[in-house]
Amino acid sequence: MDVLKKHLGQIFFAVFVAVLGVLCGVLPYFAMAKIVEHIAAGKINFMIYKEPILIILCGLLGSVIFHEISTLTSHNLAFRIIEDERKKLARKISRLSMGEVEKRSSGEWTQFMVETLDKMEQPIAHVIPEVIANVIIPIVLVIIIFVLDWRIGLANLVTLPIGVLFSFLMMGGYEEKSRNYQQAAKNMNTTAVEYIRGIQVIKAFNKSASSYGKFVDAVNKNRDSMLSWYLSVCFYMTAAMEILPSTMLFVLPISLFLYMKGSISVGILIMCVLLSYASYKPLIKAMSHMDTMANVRVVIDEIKTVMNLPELERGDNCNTISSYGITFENVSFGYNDEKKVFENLSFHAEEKQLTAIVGYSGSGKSTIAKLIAGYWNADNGKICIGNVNVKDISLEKNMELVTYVSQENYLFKKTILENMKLAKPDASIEEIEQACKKASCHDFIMSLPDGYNTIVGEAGNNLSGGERQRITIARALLKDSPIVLLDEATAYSDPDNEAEIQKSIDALVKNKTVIMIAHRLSTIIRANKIIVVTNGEIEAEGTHSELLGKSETYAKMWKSHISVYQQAEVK
Amino acid sequence: MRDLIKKLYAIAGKESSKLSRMLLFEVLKSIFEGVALGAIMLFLLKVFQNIFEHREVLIQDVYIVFGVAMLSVVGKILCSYMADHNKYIATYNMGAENRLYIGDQLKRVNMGYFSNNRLGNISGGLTTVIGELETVGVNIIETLFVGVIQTAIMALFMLPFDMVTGIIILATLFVGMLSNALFQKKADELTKKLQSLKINLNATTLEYVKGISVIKSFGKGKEMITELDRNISESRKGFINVEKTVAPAALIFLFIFKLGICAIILSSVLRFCSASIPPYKAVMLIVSSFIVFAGFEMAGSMQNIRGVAVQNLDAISKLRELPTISEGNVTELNVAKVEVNNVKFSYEKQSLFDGITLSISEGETTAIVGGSGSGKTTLCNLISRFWDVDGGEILIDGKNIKDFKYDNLLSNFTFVFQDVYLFDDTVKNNIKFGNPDASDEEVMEVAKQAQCHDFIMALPQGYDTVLQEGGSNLSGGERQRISIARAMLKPSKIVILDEATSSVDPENEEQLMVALHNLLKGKTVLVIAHKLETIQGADQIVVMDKGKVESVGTHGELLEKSQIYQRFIYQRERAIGWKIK
Repeated sequence: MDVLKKHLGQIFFAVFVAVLGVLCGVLPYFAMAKIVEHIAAGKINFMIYKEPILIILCGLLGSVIFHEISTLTSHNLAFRIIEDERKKLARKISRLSMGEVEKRSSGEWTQFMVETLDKMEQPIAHVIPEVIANVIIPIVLVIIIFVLDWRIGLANLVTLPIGVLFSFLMMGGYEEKSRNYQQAAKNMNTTAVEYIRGIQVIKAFNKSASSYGKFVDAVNKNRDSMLSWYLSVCFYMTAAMEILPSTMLFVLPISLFLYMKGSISVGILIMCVLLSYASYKPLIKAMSHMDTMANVRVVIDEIKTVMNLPELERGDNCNTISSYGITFENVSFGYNDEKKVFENLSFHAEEKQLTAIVGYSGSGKSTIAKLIAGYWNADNGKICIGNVNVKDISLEKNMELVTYVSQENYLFKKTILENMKLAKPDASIEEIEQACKKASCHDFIMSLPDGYNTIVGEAGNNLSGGERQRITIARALLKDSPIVLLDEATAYSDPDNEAEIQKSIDALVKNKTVIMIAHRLSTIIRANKIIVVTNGEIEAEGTHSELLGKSETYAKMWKSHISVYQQAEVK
Repeated sequence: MRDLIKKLYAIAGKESSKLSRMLLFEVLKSIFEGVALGAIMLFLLKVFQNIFEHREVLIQDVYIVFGVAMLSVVGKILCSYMADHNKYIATYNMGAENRLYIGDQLKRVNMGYFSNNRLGNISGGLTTVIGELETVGVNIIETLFVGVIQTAIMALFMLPFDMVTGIIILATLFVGMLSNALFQKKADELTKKLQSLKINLNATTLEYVKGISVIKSFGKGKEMITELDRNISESRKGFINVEKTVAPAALIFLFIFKLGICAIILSSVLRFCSASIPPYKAVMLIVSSFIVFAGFEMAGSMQNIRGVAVQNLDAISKLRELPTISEGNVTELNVAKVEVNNVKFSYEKQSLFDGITLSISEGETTAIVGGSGSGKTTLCNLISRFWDVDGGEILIDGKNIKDFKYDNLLSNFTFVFQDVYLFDDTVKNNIKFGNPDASDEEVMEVAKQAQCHDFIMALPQGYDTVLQEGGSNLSGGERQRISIARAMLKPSKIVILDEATSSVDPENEEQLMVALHNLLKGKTVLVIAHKLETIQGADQIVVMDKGKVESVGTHGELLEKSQIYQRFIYQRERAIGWKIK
C-alpha cells in the first residue's frame, strides 16, 4: 500500500506507542508473581507489597493510556488516508472522459467516494493498536513462559495446533462461499435500489415488495447464501475460538504435576499460569479484525480499478485553432469492442452554419454530438475543429470551444447568479441579466422570492424543467463558445415553455457553428446542410429540398412528420 | 445495553425466540467461564495447601483439575455453538424479513414523502444498514451483553467465597456501567454530528459528480475541486474531533475496571498482612482479579463501535414506521367516473390547489393543458392517490378514494409517465410488469402496437435482452414506447397519460397514436400533453392555470372562451412552425 508511505512517521509513532502499551500490560504479571512469592514466603509487612502493587497500577493504567493514544493516532491516520484517497479520486473523475463517468450513476460514484471509502476507517484505525499489540503480546508471553519453564511452555502450545486445525476447517471453501455471498449481496443491493427508485411504477402497476418476485428472490438469496455458509462452519468456528485460548486445559494439570514432582518453584509456577492464561486471548481479538482487513483489500482493489480507468488521451495544443468548422474523417466508434456504433463516418459541418443531423432513434445521432463534445475519443479516424485534430487539444480547450445543450440540464444547488457565473466568473450583473433576457428567463427569475440570489432546488424553489433549461441556455449564452451542439434540446416542454426555449436557442446559435439533432424535422428545414444517418452510416446529405428528392429515409420521415400534424388538424 | 436489546427485540418479529435462546446460551457459557476460574482456584488451593498445610499433591488432584478445565472448555464450545447457531438464524431471517416488510410498506407511503434525500436514506437502510446489523450490529450487542453478564456471574461465584471481593466486582461493574451511561449520552450526540458531517460530504460529492459535465464544459474543474477538497478536509477534521471527544471517556471507562483489579489486590494483601485471610485465599483472590473482568474488558473494547449498533437499530425502526396512508375497505369500482370536489393541496408550504373542482365522465377522454407549474401532473397524482389531498375530496364511482382498499384502487389505473422508469430486467419482463400472466404472444402483440417490436428484435437477445441501468442503452423514445407497451397490457378502467409521447420520434408517433387510440377505447382517460394537436379530439379539455381551472370545454368552445387556450394554440403553432434561423 503506497498510500501508507506518506504517513510513515505517524505509523511508526502509533506502532511505537502500541508496543509501549503492550509492555506496560505485561509488567503487572511479574509484579503479581512477586506478590504471590512474598505471600508464599509468609511475609506480612505491607511495605514490601507497596512497590509491586504500584507497578501493577502503573502498568495497567499505562497500557490503557498508551493504547488510547495509539488508537487516536491511527484513527487520525485512517482519516488522513481516506481524505487523500477521496481527493485523488475526485481528481481522477475530473480527468475521465464523460463517457467513462457516465458508466456509473452519480449515486454510485458518491456511494463509492463516501461510504465505500469509509469502510477503511475501522480496520486501519484499529489494525495498528489492536492487531499489532494483540499479535505481539502472545509472542512475548509465549517466549517468557518458555524462558521460565520450557515444559509449561510446551503445554501452553498444545491448544494452538488444535485451534489452527479448526480454523482451517472453518476456512474450507472460503473463496467460493465468500464470492457467492458477495454476489448475492450485490445483487440484492442493486435490486433494492432499483425497487425504491421505481416506486412510482411499483405503485402504478400495483406491485409490492413481496409480489415483486425479483426483490423477494434477491433478499432470500442473500440470506440463504450467508446463512448456509455460516451454519456450515459454525461448529468449527466456535471450536477454534474456544479451544485456542483455553490454555489452562493443559497448563494447569501439567504445572500441578510438575509442582507435585517438586521440579518447579511456587513463584515461577504462579507466573507461568497467569501468563499462560493471558497468552492467547489477544489472538482472538486480533482474529476478529482479520475480516475487516479483508474489507480494506476489497476497497483498495476498487480504488485501483477506478484509478486505472483509461483517461481521455489528449494533447495540449491550444493556440492553433483559427476556424471552427467541424470535420469527421473516417471516424469509427463503439461503446465496446463488440459493436461499433459507426465505422468510417465522414462529414463536414461548415463554420458558422447550421448542420442538422437526422435519423431514426438508435442511429447514432447523439453519439456524434457527444464525440464532438469530448465525451469520448474516436476509436479510429479524425475529428477536427478547424483543421486541428481534437485529440491534439486538451479536453479543457475542447470543452471551452463547444457548448452541448441537451435535455438534461444540471444546475448546482447554488444561487442562480453563481450558476451563471460558472460560465464566466468575471461576468457583470448586467451581462448576466442580458443573457437571461435573451434566453427569456429574466422575468421568471425576477419573480422568484430572492431573484438572482434564489438557491436552485431548495424547497419551494423547484424550477420546472423548461425553466431550468432556459437558465442553462442563458448560461451557455454567457459562455459564448464558437460551437454549439443542440441535442433534441426542445423536447419535453410545455406550450408556454417551448416557444420561449426556441427563442432562447435562436439567440444562442447566432453566428455559431451549430450542429443540431432534431426531433421535429420542420425546425431544421432551413439548415444549411442536413445529414441523414441510418444505422451508423450517412445515407445522404444536402438541403431539405435536395434530400426530399434523393433520400428515401428523409422523405419517409418527412411524410410521417407532417402527417402527425395534419392528422391532428383534421381532428 | 438494556435499550439496545429492547430495540433489537422490537424489530425481531418472530425471530425473538431465537434471540432469547442465543442470550440464554450466552448466560450458560458465562457459567462455564466461571467453571474455568474454578479450575484455577482448585489448582491454587492444592498448591497452597501443600505449602502451608504440607498436604501432598496427588495425581488424582491433577486429574480433577484437568477434568474441571475440560468441563469448562466442552461446555463453552457447546454453549457457544448453540448461541451462534441461533444468532445466525435469527439475524439473517430478521434481516430478510425487515427488508421485505419495509419494502411492502413503501408502497403505502405517499409519493410526496419520497424526496431524493429520503430515497437515498431508504435504499441505504434496506441495503447497508440492515447488512451492517447482520454482520456487526448483533455481534456488538451480544458482546456487550456477555461482558456484563459474565462479570456479574463471576461476582456471584465470588460472593460466597469472599464477600469483600464479590462486592468490589459488583461495585466496579456498577460504576463502569454508570460511567458508560454518561459516556453514551455524549457518544450519541456525537453520532448525530457524524451523520450530519456525512450527509454534507455526500451532498457535495453528489453535486460534484452530477455536475461534472458542466464543470468540465466551463473549465471550472479547479474551483469545484477546491470546494470539494474543503469539504473532504472538513469532514476529516470533524471525524477526528469526534474521536478525540470520545477518547477520554473510553479512557475513564477502562480506568475504572483497572482500578477494580488494583482494589482487589490491595484489599487481599492488606487483609493477608493483618492476618484476616489465609495466604492461599489471598493468592486465589489476587490471581482471580486478573480474570474476573475479562468479559467486561471485551465489552469495553466494543464501546467505540457501540454507536454502530445504535444507529442501525434506530434507522431500521424508523423505516418500519414510515408514514403510510390509511385505507378503507371498498373493493369494487363499477363506474369509472371521477369527481374532484373543492380539493386543496400544497407542496411543503407552497399552496398549489386552493379548492379545485372538476368532473370526469366515464368512458370519456379528458385532456389537461396548462403551463408548467399549473398543477396538471399533481392533479393526476391526487386522483390516483399517489399523494393525498389536504382538503376537499376526490370521488370515484361516487365513493371517496380514501374509502377504497389501496390495492383495489390502484388496480383500476394505468399510467404512462413522462419520466420512464424501466427495471434492470429483460424487455419481456418489463412489459409483463403490466400483467404478469400475459403470454409471450400477448407481450409481442402489444409491443408491435406500441411500435417497439422492431427495435426489440434488433437487440442482441431480442425480448430476453436485459436492460442495463433501466434501459440507458435505449433512446428516450424507445424507453417511452416500452413503457406504453407495458401500460397496454394492464387491464384497467382509468388511464392516465402524462406526456406519454413527448420523446417519441415523429416517424413512430403516427402509428403509436393509432395504438393508443385502441388502448383508450371505452376507458376513462386523462391526458396531459403539450402537443396540443394530439388532444384536440378530446371530449373535454381542462385548461389549468396556476392551480386553478381556468375553463373547461371542447377544442372549439375553448378557442372562443379561453384566452389561455388561444395563447397556447398560437404559441404551439409558432413552435411547430419554428425554424432555426
